[in-house]
Amino acid sequence: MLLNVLSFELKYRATRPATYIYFAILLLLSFAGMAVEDIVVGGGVGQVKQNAPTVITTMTLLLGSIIGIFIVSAVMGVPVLRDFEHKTESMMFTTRMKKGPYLFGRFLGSFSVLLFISLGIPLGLMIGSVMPWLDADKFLPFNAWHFIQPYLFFLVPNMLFMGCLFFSFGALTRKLLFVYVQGIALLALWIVAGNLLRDLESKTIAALLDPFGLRTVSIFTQYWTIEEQNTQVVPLVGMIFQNRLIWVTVGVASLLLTYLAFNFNVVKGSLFKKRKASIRKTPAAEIAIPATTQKLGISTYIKQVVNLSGLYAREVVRSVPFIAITAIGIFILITNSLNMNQVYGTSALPTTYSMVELLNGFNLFFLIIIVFYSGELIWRERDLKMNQIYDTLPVPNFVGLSSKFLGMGFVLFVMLLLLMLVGVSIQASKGFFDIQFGVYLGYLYGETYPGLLSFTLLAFFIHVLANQKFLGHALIVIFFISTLVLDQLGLEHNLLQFNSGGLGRFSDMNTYGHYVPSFSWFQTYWFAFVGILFALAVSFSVRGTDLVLKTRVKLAKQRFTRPLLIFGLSTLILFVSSGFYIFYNTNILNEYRNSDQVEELRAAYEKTLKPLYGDAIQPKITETYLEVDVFPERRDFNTRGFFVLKNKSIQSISEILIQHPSDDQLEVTSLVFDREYVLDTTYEDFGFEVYKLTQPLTPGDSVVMNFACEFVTKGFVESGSNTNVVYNGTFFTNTYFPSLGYSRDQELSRKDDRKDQGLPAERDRMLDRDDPKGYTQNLIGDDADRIKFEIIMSTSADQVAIAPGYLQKEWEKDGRRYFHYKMDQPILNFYAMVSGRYEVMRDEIDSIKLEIYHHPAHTYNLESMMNSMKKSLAYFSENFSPYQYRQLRIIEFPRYRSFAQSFANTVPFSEAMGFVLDVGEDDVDFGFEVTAHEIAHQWWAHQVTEAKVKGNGMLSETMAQYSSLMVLKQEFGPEIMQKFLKYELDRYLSGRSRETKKEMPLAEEEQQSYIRYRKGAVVMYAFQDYISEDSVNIALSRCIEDWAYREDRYITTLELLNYFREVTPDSLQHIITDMFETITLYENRAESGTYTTTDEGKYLVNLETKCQKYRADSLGKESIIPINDWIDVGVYAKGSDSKDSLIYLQKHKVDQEEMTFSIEVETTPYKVGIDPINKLIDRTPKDNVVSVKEKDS
Amino acid sequence: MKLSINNLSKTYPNGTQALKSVSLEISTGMFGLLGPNGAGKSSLMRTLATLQEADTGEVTLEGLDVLKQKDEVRKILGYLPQEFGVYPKVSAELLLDHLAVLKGITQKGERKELVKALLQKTNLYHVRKKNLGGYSGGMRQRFGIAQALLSNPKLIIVDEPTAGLDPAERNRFHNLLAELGEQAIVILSTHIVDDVKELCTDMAIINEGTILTQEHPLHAIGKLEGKVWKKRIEKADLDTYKTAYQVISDKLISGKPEIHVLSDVQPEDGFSPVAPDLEDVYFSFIFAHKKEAVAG
Repeated sequence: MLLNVLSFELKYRATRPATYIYFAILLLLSFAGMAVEDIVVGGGVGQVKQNAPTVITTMTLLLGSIIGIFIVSAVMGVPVLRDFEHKTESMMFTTRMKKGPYLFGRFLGSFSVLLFISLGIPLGLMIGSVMPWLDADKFLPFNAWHFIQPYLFFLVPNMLFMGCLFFSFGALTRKLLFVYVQGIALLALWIVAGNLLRDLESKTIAALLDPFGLRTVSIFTQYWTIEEQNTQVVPLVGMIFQNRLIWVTVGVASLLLTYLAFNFNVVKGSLFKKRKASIRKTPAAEIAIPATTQKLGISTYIKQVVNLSGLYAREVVRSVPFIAITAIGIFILITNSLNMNQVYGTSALPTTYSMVELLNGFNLFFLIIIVFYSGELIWRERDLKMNQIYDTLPVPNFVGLSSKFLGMGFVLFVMLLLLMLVGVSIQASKGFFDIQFGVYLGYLYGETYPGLLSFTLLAFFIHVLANQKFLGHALIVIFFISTLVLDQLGLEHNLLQFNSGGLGRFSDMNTYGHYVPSFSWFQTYWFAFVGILFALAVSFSVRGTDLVLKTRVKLAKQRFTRPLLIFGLSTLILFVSSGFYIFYNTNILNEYRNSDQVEELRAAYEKTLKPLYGDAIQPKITETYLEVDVFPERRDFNTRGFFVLKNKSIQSISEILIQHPSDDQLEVTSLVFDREYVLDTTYEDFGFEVYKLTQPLTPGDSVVMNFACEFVTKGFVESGSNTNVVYNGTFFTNTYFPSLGYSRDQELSRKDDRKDQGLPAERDRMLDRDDPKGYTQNLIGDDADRIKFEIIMSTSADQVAIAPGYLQKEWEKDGRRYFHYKMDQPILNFYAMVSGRYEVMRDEIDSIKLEIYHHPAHTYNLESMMNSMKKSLAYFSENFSPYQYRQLRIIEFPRYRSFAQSFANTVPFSEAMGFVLDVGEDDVDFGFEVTAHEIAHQWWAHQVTEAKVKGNGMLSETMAQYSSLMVLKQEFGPEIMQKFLKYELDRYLSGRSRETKKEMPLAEEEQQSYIRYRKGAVVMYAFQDYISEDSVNIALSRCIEDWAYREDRYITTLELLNYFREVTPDSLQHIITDMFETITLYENRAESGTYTTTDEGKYLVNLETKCQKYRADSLGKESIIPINDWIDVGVYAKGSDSKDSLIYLQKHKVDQEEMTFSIEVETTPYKVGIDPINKLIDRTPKDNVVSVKEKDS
Repeated sequence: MKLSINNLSKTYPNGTQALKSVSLEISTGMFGLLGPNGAGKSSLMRTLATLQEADTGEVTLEGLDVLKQKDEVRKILGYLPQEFGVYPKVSAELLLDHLAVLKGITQKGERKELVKALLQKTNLYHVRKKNLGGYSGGMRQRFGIAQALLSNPKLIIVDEPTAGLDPAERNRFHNLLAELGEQAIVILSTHIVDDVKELCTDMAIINEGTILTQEHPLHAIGKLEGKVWKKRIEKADLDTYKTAYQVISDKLISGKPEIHVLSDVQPEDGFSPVAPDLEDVYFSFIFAHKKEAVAG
């Protein structure tokens, strides 16, 4: 019997086109994901090959679960439901068939079909991976097992789980609706579970809870090296096995439950069906039909539209999928809000713009709703079979579509209101009441709403034209893909990208900034576009029963009446004229290049200029005088000034090479030398000029270069508008002025881009440490060593202008404010110019003036930042060397960029970094940390300036990290530090698994932030733990003494490490090799812990450990090396409020892989571990601590 | 009021010729369009109801070009499609009111009165607050007629309205239609002969897209006077009779077929004359048409 049902199901499915369509969809997507470079489905990063087993596993899971979920739902949800839909249940249930064979037969049949369909994934991937056009460098040799293994061990269990679940739901609810919704619901739950992941502690739980196993795989392999990722399949062990087991069990259990709960009976309706009430009959009355007046005309049509749109809105809002999607969306928003904007576990304040950004997370749900319901609404009458009634009503054609549009518009309007309410509630629940309703309205109704409306009209148009619901949905998806394709073809201009041109980022300082005009024009343009589509949709919409295209075209002509014609023409005119106006702004007033053109230009720069001028010796700037007039309201600035250029080399220089700033808005209007010269060659495209001096510049000789330049903002640009020069909070650096010689920074750096442009693919990121060309130039570049600096800045009357140096004079003239700054000692050729409306917080320490220039409303974290300034200056002055300036300023700038940067006595600090933090008691005070880090740069960069060679980041960033850690430790104690370092270790380990070229040892890092910041912090903390903080500080102060302010030669890590070696005892010298000179990792694990009570009432803890030490080569290939280190062993007692207290922490010698330690403690032990607080770089930091059990004696 | 249909033809994309040069003159009163399933009734109805384009031919209604001036026609049209659905979660009262707005009855008081009257007329008043999803087939059909009567239509087209109604409901429905026929052109398409017999003052028989006849039902019956003969026969002899005579119908009476034969004289012994009814008219035309088709 079972076999009969099964074979019937198989035969039925074999004749259904859907079976093959689903298979084809998965096959094509998988093929494209693998074989089309521009379509990325969780593909390999950097050195990880595109067909590495881990990548295939992830792709299989992504395709099979995220996209597959809808297919699984469609295939597995219907087998039982089908009988109810087709009303064949009475036929089925009255046969002699039993419940078991019926259910399981249907299930097995459908599941077999599902397995066939999902075979499309491995097949598609396999075929995709052997396509001849692929870059062989990025692929491993073909290995079929790498494709089959993820299918068998990951996809099939997923399909089983989802299949059982969806089958059960379909069978029990007997509602097609649930079949539609359950996929989305499961996906939403999955996303929610993902948010738990952000909290580091619950990773294992998150790994087990993920029904798709995607996160399980990513957590399991997160610290895998590139070598491992390229060679090993994800094995079915540990948490992976547990995860698979859990979810397959859940699936099978749901199937069994269905068997028990399923009612093999026709009369009883589905779970949720109400019984019908009986109808009372009254006799018919003899009634005359009253006469009525029929009024047709504009006022009636308006009334009809209002009436109809109300009906449609009601239909949408009351439908279950809508409620479900909305509820799920809001649920996700709320979950996301729980740990919103966290850095190192510290949350940012729930400002309104951060809420708006959170609410943007709902956009996906908006899209789902619009796509789904535009189809539903267009098909509403026909689905209900009411179309023949509606179509004969004396209603003009536009009324129906307009009403559907307005109904949808009304629904979206109310949803946005609901979202706003959600936002405000989240803010209130976090105790934040500085709510900016204007910002909510501006973004939700100013930006999101128009976009949704345009999209709705587009979807309407597509559905009307397609005239088939499924085809319509598919066409909308194809439309989105086609815009991506346009992008890839170089047609990336916003005029060609539907609904492009956003309102940009909101900043408290600069509010909506300069985005409004360009945004409004683009909105007008797109509204006009969808207006045209709407006119077409009205004329082509189906009214009546004729569906042939020929007849529809004939009817459309008939319907293109005068009003519609006028509407269509005026939208067309608006579309064309706004398009022209935008084009005029983006391409004529401003320069427009697509990304290919930018790459070509950069490649041409390298090809043309490098052979000629790559190694040309140039004079150096020794003095800079500038007059900079900023016009914030116009977003312009003018500069006049001079550089004194000195020949510091031993050769004469006859050609001075001038590189103009690459920004199109900036023009150098004059450039004159104070001795005889000719402009020899101009490379217009590259902004590169060669000036020939009549008398060469002899060694030691100087020349003055007078120049002027103008930065002018004209109209608006296509994208990437300048956010440095803004209405309030202008912040730019000397990159806006001419520089000297060939600029290596303009070279393309990505391997693929270089290959595309026919350049040598390999390009060293940095020079070697012993390269004389490297150690004679500092990190800022070879334009200058140190310069004398003086500047007069002017700005509008309500703003303050700030630049490095001390204020000499301040005055007002012609309604503008002038500030004259001058530095009394040479500084690096690296300075910032800032202008904005500020309030100032002032303080002083040791007669050093401290100032924080901040946005008036941003007072939340000022105390802590000021505290950090004081504590940092005190610590560094005492332990390193005196602070070199009399003043230190922090200046806030808008959150278009989020970083802080240290210039001489001046630290511009992003609004987003430390000004709006909500620091809890146990949180790492991120603002404090960043402040300390930036102040440390006044030593590590501004006093000791490093050479521009490998490892330079260890000198500036790692040392600044170390310095700030020590201030943090002093201020908050070691526990907060450990929290901070845990995040740093995690970021290092995941950073190295995403390396695009090769991982370097810390001392030779190449601008790799996961090394210079993350590994640097972890390693330096451990280093000071081994040799003591004092010893490290002694080494650093010696280094400063020898190297501060030098101009003849710049320090590299070779020298720094010598200072470290000097203060390190012989027994620990090897840790310098481990930490700085090589890539060394540990795999420390606590195997088991027990304890016994001694006769004296003490506790003897027994810990068994397994410790391995690895050395990795540059590709991440790790090999075990013998271990012989002092490693922490720690014992915890159970704490009062979930925090355990460390009652024992001592370093023990570890010289064997497996060891046993016995430790006597006074209190009852709770946990025990090896390197329990992760001071060392541990590949798996989570398994270092175990709970102890009392040993039966 | 007069509706003239002239040489109307329609061929569907799949090649089916639904209407072949149909011409009819219809004036105020009940007009029955009789024909078997698939004869082209609905095609004609839909064309008249502005839902479908015709390939050739013209239709005029009191100077209106029905095929072109669709909006004008829709103002005076009441249409009950053969098959239709409703918003399941909306009450009859609300939907009717809503449809009244779409008919252009903008005055609220007037609309309320009209809706109330129509609901009472169609005997739905007591269930007016109930969601349409819970209506039985008959109730829904009555709701259909109620909506067709909004705004005093001059042209009422009802397509197979009595299908699926029980006898009592059908009766009530007929009364309602008869009342309407006093002021408007009511076109009733059906394959049930009794519907036409009971209601119509004029009728046409259509088969395979062709109008076979248009005349008053009684007049048509009169034409067959003395020409219809009946006989009860054995089941096994049915085919023999069918080849020998013009058998226009056969039906079982107590398990034995009774055949009606068209003949100017008594065909043979055992045949007795019967007073023809409309059914005989109908079958005689259909039968004749079929024969013609076979012969041609």
